[in-house]
Amino acid sequence: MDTDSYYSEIEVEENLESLTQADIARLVQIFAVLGSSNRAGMSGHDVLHNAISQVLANERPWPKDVSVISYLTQSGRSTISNEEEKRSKLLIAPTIDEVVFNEDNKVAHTSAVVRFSNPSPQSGLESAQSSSIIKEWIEKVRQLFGEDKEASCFIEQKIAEQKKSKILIICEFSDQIYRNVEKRIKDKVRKRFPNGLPWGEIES
Amino acid sequence: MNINFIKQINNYVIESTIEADDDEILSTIGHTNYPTWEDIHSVQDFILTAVKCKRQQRLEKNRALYFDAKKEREHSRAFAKTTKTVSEMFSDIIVAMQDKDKVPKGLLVAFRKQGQDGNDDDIKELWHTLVELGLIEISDDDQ
Repeated sequence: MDTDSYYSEIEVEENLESLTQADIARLVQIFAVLGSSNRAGMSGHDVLHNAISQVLANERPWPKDVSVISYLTQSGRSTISNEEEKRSKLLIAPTIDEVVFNEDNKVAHTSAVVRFSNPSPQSGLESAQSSSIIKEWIEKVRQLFGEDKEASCFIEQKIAEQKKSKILIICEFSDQIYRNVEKRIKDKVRKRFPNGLPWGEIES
Repeated sequence: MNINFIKQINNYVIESTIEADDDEILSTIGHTNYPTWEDIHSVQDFILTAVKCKRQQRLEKNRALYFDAKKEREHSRAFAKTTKTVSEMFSDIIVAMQDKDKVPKGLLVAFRKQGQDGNDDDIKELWHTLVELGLIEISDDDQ
């Protein structure tokens, strides 16, 4: 391995030992925002344990230009995605007891098999519910910045998926004002929604 | 309505969590919707134990490598320093070969072949192999 670009085994151990209590709190919080509980059924600190084990096993080389927080965040993000995938397979796959064979040895069209091979008849309803949840959350964010005209303009343009160049023109921001408004929004949403918005619960 | 906006807000929460001062982060520990001190201590203990275990494994691996290399060096040194003549080596081999329970069959065949056609170098090589296998003991007098 290229020791100039990647941390050695010993350096990785030293990096992990140098994690402060504040860093650990940040990581546990970040995993909660990423949906450790509702997507993977794991606590934030369980995801962090898992990420630390993977890092110590040297499963992926750690580039020296990536901070400990970023590296562990990426590792934890993969853990959550993998667990979510495993859970979703368990939910949709029929168990062997649910699969029934006909006399000619073909799979019978039982409810379990139909469920596995066709979209749920309730999917339309779930989609409507998801849309309603998204609307509700967007409204909560709007209300949070009701008194702040600059932030409100920024938020409306973000909802409309406008790029920075457009937002600068529409909201009449300089680069500096854009950064200030964005920072204000970041800090306020963190304090109001420390675990983020539960997008993992929303059917996309 | 777009889910991307919801994801964007979550990214803002993450970025702000990373950028916030340590004091601010520490002051939230134990509050509703934030990590508890139990979470923090559990991770600290986990790191301590996991790193200690990793170091112990590395130490044991390096120790095994060191002793293997040391043993190899000692055998090589014994061979290089031995004052035994070829005929003495041949006698050692004969004695070792009499203990059929310990000597692998393949070696017996090789010995018979070298015993008939082998030259001095073959005998030295076989003697060395038997020393390495522990079938011939070298005393300090031999060095």
